[in-house]
Amino acid sequence: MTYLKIMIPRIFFSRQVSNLMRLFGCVILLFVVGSGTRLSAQNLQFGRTKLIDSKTDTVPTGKIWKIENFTYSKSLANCPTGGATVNITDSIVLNGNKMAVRAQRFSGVEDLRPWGTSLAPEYLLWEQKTPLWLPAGTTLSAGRGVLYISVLEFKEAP
Amino acid sequence: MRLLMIFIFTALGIGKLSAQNLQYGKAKLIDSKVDTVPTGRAWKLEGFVFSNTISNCPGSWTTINIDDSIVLNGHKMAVRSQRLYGSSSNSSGALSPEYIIWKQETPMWLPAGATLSAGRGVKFINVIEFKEVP
Repeated sequence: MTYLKIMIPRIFFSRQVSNLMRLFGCVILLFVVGSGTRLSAQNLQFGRTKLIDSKTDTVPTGKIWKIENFTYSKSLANCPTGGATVNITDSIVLNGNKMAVRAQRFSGVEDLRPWGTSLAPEYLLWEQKTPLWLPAGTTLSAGRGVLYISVLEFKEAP
Repeated sequence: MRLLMIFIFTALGIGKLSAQNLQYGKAKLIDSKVDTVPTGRAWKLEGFVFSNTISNCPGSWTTINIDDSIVLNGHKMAVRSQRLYGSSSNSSGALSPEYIIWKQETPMWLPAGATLSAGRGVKFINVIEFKEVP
């Protein structure tokens, strides 16, 4: 017992052990700081910009896509003549589902003279609101009337 | 010990390098001359400046169909469309006019390599260039 009492302080305060202790302390500190950062909320880190066309693309694992907007391959339909109607829907394909992103409904002037009252033209335009956020594994492609889907890719950073 | 510390800090540095950020580069006004997004950059398309105002109200029974456009990767793409039906009147009464304007929503993000120029009716495309920094 007496031997132990004398030897422990000597070993403990020897130069080599002291250096080792300091090193050990540093490593522990780094791990504590590291794990503390990891435990905090998850962040989104910019990855890249993408233009998705008609070829199907998939959100990679650990990433997330923000759909910013759509660009169209065709402009609005012209004013129809006579009593004609226009019903055009531009779409994207999300997880295999066709999804409208712009819809035009247009009925032209119907000239009913001299038999009755003519009908005034009417135009309705609807557009999908953005942004849309897509999780990993989601598939996406441009559909009818859509040239590109403007996408930002983010990395889910711990 | 020194080697170990160097190793640890290098590892931390590598971890940091995997992150990517966007750093403001410059503002640009793209005209009818084709411009390309440089390597390592991204363009944020903010808006469009039009060379013509919207068309005047047309006379009765007249229609107006005007598209202002840009050229993206060689594709002509409408960014503003006007569809106008003039007021009409006949023996059965008067018909009210109908006017609709559609405008391309922004922002749009373009990756490196994308080409862009102003088309018909567009004077400038307002762009912000960002640098992709690791």
